[in-house]
Amino acid sequence: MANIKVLIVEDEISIAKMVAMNLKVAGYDTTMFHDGGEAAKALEQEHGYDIAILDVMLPGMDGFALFEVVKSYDIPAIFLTAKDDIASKIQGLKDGAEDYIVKPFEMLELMVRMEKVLERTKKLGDVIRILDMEINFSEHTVRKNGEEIPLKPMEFELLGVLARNKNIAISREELLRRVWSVDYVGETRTVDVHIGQLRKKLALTDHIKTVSKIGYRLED
Amino acid sequence: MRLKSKIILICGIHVLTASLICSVAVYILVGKSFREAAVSQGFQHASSSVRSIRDELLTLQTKQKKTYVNSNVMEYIFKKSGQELIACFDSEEEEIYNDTVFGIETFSRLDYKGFDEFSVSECAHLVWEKQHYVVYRDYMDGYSVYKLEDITYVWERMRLLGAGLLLLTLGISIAVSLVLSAVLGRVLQPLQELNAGAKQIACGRYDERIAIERKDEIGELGRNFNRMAEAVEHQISSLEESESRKTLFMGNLTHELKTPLTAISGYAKTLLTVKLPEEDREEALSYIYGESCRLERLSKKMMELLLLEQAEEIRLLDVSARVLFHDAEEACRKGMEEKEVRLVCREDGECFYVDADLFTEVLINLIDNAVKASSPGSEIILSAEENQVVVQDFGMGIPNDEQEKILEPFYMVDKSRSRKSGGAGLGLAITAAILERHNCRLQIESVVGEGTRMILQFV
Repeated sequence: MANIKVLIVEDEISIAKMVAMNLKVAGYDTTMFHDGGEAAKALEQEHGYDIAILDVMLPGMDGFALFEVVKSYDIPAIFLTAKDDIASKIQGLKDGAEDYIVKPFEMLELMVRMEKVLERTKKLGDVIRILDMEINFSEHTVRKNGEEIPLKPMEFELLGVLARNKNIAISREELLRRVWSVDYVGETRTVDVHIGQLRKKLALTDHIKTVSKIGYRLED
Repeated sequence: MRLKSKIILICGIHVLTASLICSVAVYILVGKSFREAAVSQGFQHASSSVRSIRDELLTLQTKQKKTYVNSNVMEYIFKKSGQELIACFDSEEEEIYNDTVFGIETFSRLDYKGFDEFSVSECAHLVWEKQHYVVYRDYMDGYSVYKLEDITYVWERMRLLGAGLLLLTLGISIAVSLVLSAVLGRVLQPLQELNAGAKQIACGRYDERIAIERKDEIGELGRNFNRMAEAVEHQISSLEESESRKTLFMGNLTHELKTPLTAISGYAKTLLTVKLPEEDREEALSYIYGESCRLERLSKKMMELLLLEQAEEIRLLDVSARVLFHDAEEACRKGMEEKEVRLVCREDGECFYVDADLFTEVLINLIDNAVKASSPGSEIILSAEENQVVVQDFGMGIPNDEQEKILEPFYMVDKSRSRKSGGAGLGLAITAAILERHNCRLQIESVVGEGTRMILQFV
């Protein structure tokens, strides 16, 4: 399965690069533009993107105008902006943007929202291949070297989150929130126990890394 | 209590008192002269009556050749005269004739006074049952004659006079109050307008003015009130303006801070959580470093701008254009060499009354901007004239609608280009602030595609 293609239009090169850097290690293909006009021109030739991340204040052509172009190619878009006023937020969302993220933002937050959008637009593949595993989200099965390994539901969900954000460390709290849908800090032992199970069942001891003070990371 | 009522009350009381005093004085004076007149008239009247009786008696004595007068003769004479209110007594105080209701006891008890120092006859004042009489006493051959003249009418007239004066007093007071009320209404009208105007201003409508066309103190008050309202409006609007400028500045500053902070924290988090290839790690670190440098530059420039606005005095000295131009050229040399731009200085020994350090910074800022706008190989002309300094480039120029905005803090015509060259968007704002301290005007002449002339004009 081909990687998901992301269009990033952001005039701050440092931020564009940062988004691209994070998305790349998580397995996305990224294309960057720093000028709205250039991005619009380039879209005429190549518009096979799965999702677009747009800044609002752009040189050449502003984000809202560029969004019309992006929309015409059926590319869902998330606005990423320093403009924290309700009016432009409403305008962005009313025009049909999928989401609106205000700077400063957390990279993980952006990725979660992107996943939500991609899930909705069915761009997120049902199958992820990582290392020697094949994770099938529609069948809820994991095959290692073609052999199915039985996993408990929560273990499967945990593996899914780690695999979708491969190479990125996720905190225990974040995992609790995303897998168990609970918000309190005291229960992080649960995460450790399930990580232990995954390591044992799938022989991932070397690949699920404990990043000190941060959390866990699945590396390929 | 309203001012109007107070004034009316005070004036009313004054008028009432004054007219009462007048009335009483008039009453007393007029009463006295009335009484005196009546007494005098009564005296004359009575004396003429008595004289006629005496004449009658003399006539009778001459006719009958008798000098002796007895009581019968007297009685006869009095009866014949037909006079009223007259009485006659002999030396033993026996009543000879009496047409009055009083007896000798009443008459003799009275206090008689001579009408004048020469007259023998005397008169007195008798009050009986609210009737006033002038009692006239005279002697006729040993008999005493009492003639009464009724002067009660004087007291009646006095009563009338008193009542009239009282009515007049009240009438005057009421009339004065009414007139005062009407006049005060007109006089105090502007005060009510002033009051209404002050209320409006208190409610925040600072454009409220009062139309009072008068030359008295109230008119003056009105004019001063308007002047005050104007001052307040001016102050408020300048406060609002500076407030909105500050808000805009803060908004821009926040925006300028957000971007590098997002980048710094984002890269740091990425380095902490993501397994990055070595070259990406290095790139992330270099971005963190670059963005923190940008923050540092920004804070330095902010500090500079802040100090400029707070600095109380700048040290103005006569500095030659040669020195200023030389210093600026030295500072900009590196940037110009990189871009292969040449600086041409034209000066003829002019001197300017400036703070050398600050003014050099202005020149550096302007030359920097000119270098950024110029294409490689072109030149920048820095020239001094009698009262102005001109920085001219032949670069891309500034669009007309941007020319005013470029002096605002954080404004950048081409944001990404400015960022690439390390600008924070504060250079021209600082320049403008310095020039303001020098009483120097910055004039921008620019044509897109042809170049820009920045003219610093000393006022």
